[in-house]
Parts: sequence; C-alpha cells; structure tokens
Amino acid sequence: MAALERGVAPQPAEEFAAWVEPHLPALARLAGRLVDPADRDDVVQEALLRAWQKRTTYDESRGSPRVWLLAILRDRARRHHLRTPPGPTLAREPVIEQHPSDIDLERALAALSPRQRLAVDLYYFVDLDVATTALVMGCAPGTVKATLSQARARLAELLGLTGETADD
Amino acid sequence: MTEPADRMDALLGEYADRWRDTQPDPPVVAPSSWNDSPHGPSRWWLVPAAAAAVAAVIVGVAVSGPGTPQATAPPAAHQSNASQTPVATGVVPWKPLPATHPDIPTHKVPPSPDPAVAAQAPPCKAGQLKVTREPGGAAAGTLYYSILLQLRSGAACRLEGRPDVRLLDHGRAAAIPLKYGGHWADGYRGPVLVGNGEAASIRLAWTEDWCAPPVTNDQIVVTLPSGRTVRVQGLGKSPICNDGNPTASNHKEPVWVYDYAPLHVQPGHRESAYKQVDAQISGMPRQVTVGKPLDFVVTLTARNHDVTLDPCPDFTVVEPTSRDTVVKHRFGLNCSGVRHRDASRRPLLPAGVPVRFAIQTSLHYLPPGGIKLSWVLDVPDIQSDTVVLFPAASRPTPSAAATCEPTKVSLVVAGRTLPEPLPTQPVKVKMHVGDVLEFDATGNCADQATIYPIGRLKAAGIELIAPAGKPLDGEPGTRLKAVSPGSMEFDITQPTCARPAGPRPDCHGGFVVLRRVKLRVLP
Repeated sequence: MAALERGVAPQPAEEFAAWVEPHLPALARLAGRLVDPADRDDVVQEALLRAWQKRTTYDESRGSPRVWLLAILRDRARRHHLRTPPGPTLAREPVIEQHPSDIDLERALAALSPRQRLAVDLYYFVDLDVATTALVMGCAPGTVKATLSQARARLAELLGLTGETADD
Repeated sequence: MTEPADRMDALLGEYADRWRDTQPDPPVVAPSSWNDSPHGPSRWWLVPAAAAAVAAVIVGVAVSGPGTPQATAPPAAHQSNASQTPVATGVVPWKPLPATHPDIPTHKVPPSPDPAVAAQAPPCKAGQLKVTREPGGAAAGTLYYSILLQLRSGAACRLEGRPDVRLLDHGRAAAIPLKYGGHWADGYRGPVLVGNGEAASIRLAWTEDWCAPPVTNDQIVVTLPSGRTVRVQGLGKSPICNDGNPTASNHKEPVWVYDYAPLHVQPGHRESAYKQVDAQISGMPRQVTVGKPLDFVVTLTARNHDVTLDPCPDFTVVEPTSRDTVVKHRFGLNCSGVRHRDASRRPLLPAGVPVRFAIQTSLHYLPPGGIKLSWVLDVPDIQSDTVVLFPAASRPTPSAAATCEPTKVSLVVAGRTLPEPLPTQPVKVKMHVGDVLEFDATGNCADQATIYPIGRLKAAGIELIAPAGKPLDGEPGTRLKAVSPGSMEFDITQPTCARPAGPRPDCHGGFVVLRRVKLRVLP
C-alpha cells in the first residue's frame, strides 16, 4: 500500500479503491460539515466518482492523495449546493445532548463567511494540520492561520465571549 | 488570563472532538462495474462500513439454528479443518499473553530530496539553467502550471525562496494579480538542489474563478538569481468564471506563485522495521458459533529484511459489539513460539518467509449486515488486515444470482406509462408540480431494484412516498411527487449480483444502473 501512496493514482479499480480507502474518514468528515447529513454519502460518492474519472490527472507533486481528494470533495459539495434549490438555512443539530452550548456554537459557525467556515471545518473538524488545510484551500499556510484567527475572533464575538475574561 | 479567541480554540477543539465521535462510520468503497467502458465507470458504490468488503476476506455465515449464526468459508478461501483449531505444522500456537505496550524503536527517514544537501551547493547562475514550462493540468476547479528549471551545464547548484515571476500579454504586463503562496510541497522547506537528474520547479495555480472580462497571458518572465531573465510560454486565456457558473461579479482570481520546490518530494518521517511487514488473515474456520471461541491465523511476512521480534510487539483484535461500538482486545504476540531465531537467539521474521500465528477471539455480535473483524499489529507503522463476516441469509448466493431474470422497470406519470428508451439512453421525464411519478419493476429479482439517491431527490423538491406499510428505501412501488419546479437526475439501480449475466463469484457492494432518469418539474 505504501507504494500506492505515491506517484500517480492507480488505474485498476480495485487498487484505486484501496488507494482512496485510508482517506474516506477525512472525506466523510468534510462532507459531513459541508452538506446535510442525509447527503453526506452522496457527496462522497460523487467525489470518488469524479476522482476515478480524473485519476490520470493526479500528480503527487501537486499534493498528497488526501489533499487531492478533499479538494475534489469540496468542489463536489459546492456543486451540490448549486443544484440544491435554496430553502430555509438551519444550523446543524447539536451532536451531543449534554452540551447545549453546542447549539449556539453551530449557529455561530453558520454565521461565518464561507472561507472562514471552510478553514474551521478543515482544521478543527476534519482535523488537518495548517499546511494540509492550506493545500486544500489553495492558499498559503499563513493565510489559513489568519483566516482561523479571524474566524475564532468572530465566533467569540457572536457567542458574547469578547467581554469576558477567564483564568485557566 | 485567556483571550476570547484562544478560548474559542479550546471550545472548537472540544466540540470538534465530540462531533467526530458521533459521526457515522465513513462509507466504504467497493468497486463494482468500474471497467472503463466508453461511458466510463458506471459508479462508485458506497456501502455501510459494517457490510462492506474492501481488500478483505469474505466469509459467508450460515445460520445453524434459531439465533445461532454460524460461519461457513467460501470454497476459495483459506480453510482450516472443521475442528475450529487451525494449528498445523509451522503455526505459532495461540497464547493469551498480556499486552506489554513495548516501545518499538523507530528511525528517522529524511525528506527526499534532503534540503540539507541542497544547502551545501552554491547558488545557481542563470547560464547553468534550462527553463521550460511544462504542460498544465487541472483538478478540482484549479488549473496548475509548472516551470521546470534543469541543469544545463556546470556543477549542481541551489535555488531557494520566492521566485521572481511576471506575466505578460503582448510584451506588456498582463492585468492579472499575483499572490505568493509560500511552500508548495507539503513537508519540504529550504533550498532546492538543481543537479543531474534533480530539477527545481516553480508552481503556479489559477482557480477557475475569473469573472472579469477575459485576459491573456502569452509569456512568463522569470528573473533568475543572477538577474538575467528568461521567457517561457504563458498561461494562456484566463480560466472560466466560478467553475462554469458565471456570476455578476468582476472578480479577478489571482495566479498563485509558490516558492522554488523540488519536482518530487517525499516528506521526512519516522518509521520502524515493521514498515515492510505485511499482515494477512487466513484460516477462518468453517463453523463458528457466536459467543464461542473463533480461531484463525494471521501471517506476518517481512518483505525485504529480517525483522527481529525484540521487543515483542502487541496486537489488537477489533470486534464490533453493536452497530456503533467495538471492543478492542490487546494481547502480546507469542514471539517465544516463533522458531526462527537470529544469531542472538532472538525470535525473528526472516525476510520473505511467512510466519503464521494462531489467534483466538470470539464473536458476540453478527447482524444480517455483517461485521468487520480487524487484526492490528501495534507498531508505529500499523499493519493490519480485516475480514468481513456476513450471515449467509443476507448475502445472495451465486446460484441465486444466476437465476435472476432481467428486471423490467416501468415509470408512469399522471397515469401515462413512459416508453422504454434505448438501452444506453436516459429516460427524460417532464412533469408538473403536483404530478406523481410511479416507479415499479417486475422480474424475480425486481425487489432488489431501488431509486438512488433518495436524499438528493428530497433536497430537489421531490416528495417520496413509500409503498403502503413499508419503509422508504426506494423500492418498487415508490411514488415521487413533484413539490417544486426544478431539474434533477436519478438512477434506478440493482445489485450486480442480481444482474442476469450468469453466475458471479460474489455479489457484494456492486450495483448496476437499470435506468437513468432525467426529471424536469415544470410549475
């Protein structure tokens, strides 16, 4: 498998499936952040189909397979939103009942700019490092850091934390 | 005192952890009919992780009595005899040894190429270099270009930092903003060696978001470290707007220019001797009863070099105990039972020699959808293998697959049956808001046909009505009621194992499109 991680994307379907499999958790997480839960697997599937169709264009020098696949997924999620008729925008349901503050946090996340939200989704929820986040977003690592900083400041403002101080 | 933004970092990190913990398993990919037909692969099919089989040994399970699933191995699988004990000559016997959590030694693998080597080379002079522009490519809505810098003459030299690049149009500066993106290659920092066989590159990226009037870049001027300029072919016409979805904005997407980077990079990392060890499960017994010991064999093979089992590693068996939970059983590997020894009498995985270990666990959960049982060697470069255990009742057999008749699909809109299209053509359906499209299918495998994907149809303003008394899963008898105007596409699919194309060795995961439907809902 290690050999498959580098170079070009494998051509046989079985090998390509094995090649993408380690990246499925990250793809599913990003899809889980970008689209409704009911559409998560559809968007992952569309991204994989697109990756399969474009597998000959993969070039490791442009980034790791994970970066390539996440970038494709991001594109598919954007197209998914374009296809989906506009409807009421709802914050996601909180994932843990014991943390009612999560409701406020999800609502605040929904109020970020798309770019800030993408940076937060990739860095915190998909759990990428800054360098990989930058490659997926197509910008410099410094830009990611700045965007995350702005996002945190905006969230703190939305959640009313800016007037507080707290000692650790 | 904690700054609000720092506190947000902690809040986000904690919430993201909780969010990840509650996410369903990622879907698993099973290649179905992905042969490169003129129309491309029919689809990637995602199946729930618990029921999937990717790079896994598939074991059918028969039910021997009420509530007592038992496993049967397929004819092609490695099998032990019926005694449940796969121990045979050359198999290291099973011992439930406690885990020792040993510290497995690792060594540092430097990045390749190594920037420390490049740092020792003198700076490149313009006359030494041959500069060319490589053909561009595209991925995920971004166009990529690279300028290649190769050694023309002289000794190896180095390039580093931000390249000096200008974009021209007919000799004048093109009105295209430039942005500098820093490091291109993940994991590589520092100077870049240009030598025999080692090239440097300047990477350029242009996202398909140019929504201003089109511009052209016919030449790129690269100013080399000595101050001399070199001209190479430009990027051409500005890319499309918003990935082909024009907007009214006048947005000028910049061209990103990245620092000098090696053409190919392998990041530095740490690895252990187990990096080149493969693990494979075999020997699943013919009969396994849930709740009773399950014996199988794991084969470890060192591909290239001997691996000394000192310290002796642990391993973990990961067993699902419900749909959402797993239990991990960690043990010490029975290294003392390995007969291969090095000169110091330490147990050894000899290069190229499979060493088989008997493993024992037990199953406590085996739903119709199957479970995934994993064996993991607890070393820094994790080596693992997985088997998927299916109850036979939920897994169509090859003989059943061979007896499937062709499934006939019928689509009725407002009482009118739609004509059959040519086999490769989609069905184009026009209906008005309020109309109902009825989907039905006939044939002895028709119950396996389903509408896909339901989620997107719902999002597109189609209300799906399940057959009376049945859950909504897109089966024949489902009705689609148009609620709002729009266009969408969906498929009616069937498992490939039900396709009337003769016997198949297995039929998990893959699906075939029986009918593609292009639906347009008018007001």
